[in-house]
Amino acid sequence: MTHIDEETLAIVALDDAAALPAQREHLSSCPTCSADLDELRRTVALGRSSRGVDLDRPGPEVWGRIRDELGFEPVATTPVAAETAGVAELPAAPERAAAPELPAAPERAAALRPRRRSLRLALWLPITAAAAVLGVLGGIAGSGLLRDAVGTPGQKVVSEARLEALPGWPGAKGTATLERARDGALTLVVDMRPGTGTAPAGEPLREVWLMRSDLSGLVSVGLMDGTHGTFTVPVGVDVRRFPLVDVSAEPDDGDPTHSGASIMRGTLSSPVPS
Amino acid sequence: MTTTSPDDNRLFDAFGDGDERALEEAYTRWSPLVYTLALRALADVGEAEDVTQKVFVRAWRGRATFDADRGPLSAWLVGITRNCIADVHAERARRLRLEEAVAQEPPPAPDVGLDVAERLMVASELDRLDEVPRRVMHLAFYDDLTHTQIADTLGLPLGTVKSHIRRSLARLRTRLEVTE
Repeated sequence: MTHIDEETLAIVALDDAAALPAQREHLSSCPTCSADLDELRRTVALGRSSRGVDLDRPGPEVWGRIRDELGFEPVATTPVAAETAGVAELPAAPERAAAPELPAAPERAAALRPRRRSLRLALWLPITAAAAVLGVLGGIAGSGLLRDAVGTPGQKVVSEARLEALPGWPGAKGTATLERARDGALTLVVDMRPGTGTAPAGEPLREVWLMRSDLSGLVSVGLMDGTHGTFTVPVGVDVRRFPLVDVSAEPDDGDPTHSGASIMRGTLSSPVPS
Repeated sequence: MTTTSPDDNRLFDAFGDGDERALEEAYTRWSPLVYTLALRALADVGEAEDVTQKVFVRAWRGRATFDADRGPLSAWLVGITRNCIADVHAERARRLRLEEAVAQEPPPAPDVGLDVAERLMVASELDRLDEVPRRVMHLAFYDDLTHTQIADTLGLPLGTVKSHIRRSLARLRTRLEVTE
């Protein structure tokens, strides 16, 4: 008999009972296949035992310290002119002066990470040239909540939101990150916790919206494929006026308006609490 | 059966070429793994962050010694992490000996065995799978469903489920090739 194919070996590694008698016989006499199976079984055992294993994330300032230690230019890759142009439409930032104290992090954020992290962050902030931008949109105050504190390479995280489930979508959860590219373009990155927000009946379309705080106005930024999406925020959409990120379940009916069925929602972190 | 993804190859190359963005990408992908390992071993946020910093600094400075044929980048980083954690333990033991008049055995180090590292690595790789294969593997691992039950549950053809299982297991297995 020829060797057992990889697909079958993988299935048998998950479930011994899946092996046919002839395959069992082959395994007992073939060192190659049985060694392969053993390794796959070990992988399966590790996979099963990884249930509930949660990875923690280092504070957002650690990457800055690594860059400093290695002597990478902190913002050399980000032309200052581009940064400034990018925020030209934003108001002057009195918040920037307040940034060093970074006093009361939003309550929820404070509960989720050690206090001293936000203090150390406060010390690190002003040294970064990017602080001007961060101070304006200021999202870094919530960075500890983020999945990837450094965001997408070449992009700067300027604001974040933790998305919480709306009634009817228990377990739905996610994050939204507003990133600014070197050319000033804003990108909204939405991540949904896998396996949540799925209607029992099937997979709804998911649409991502920016809304006013009081839900009185909204802008669609796009449909989300799966549980992750990257959306360009159209130039002219003022994120300060539409700080709420909303992910909705949309029927596949061609109606461009919001279905009213929001799965999860959260507010992009405001600059500095005032 | 080494199934390094094209994505990884690109990162290895860029890393070797000294592209700073490759370090940033490696940091984005694996700092949670490195940090969590350190945090579990040291039970101290500050020290775990210091270890994380050291690991990526050492990895960058020692990138010429990285050999993709000997194992994946993640395993290499885990190896460096274990060394850095061992350094902190040694330093703690040294301090303890200095502080105590009577030399004592240092307290046993918390478990940072290969097993913990591997479980974390598998957890982080499972997390990185695309949505469908991830759901397949969750059902197979955590709900103990057979491949036929998974196909029924997700409404997928049996062949698709089998192929997701084969590819995902091969990928996880590759990530577990630890460089010693």
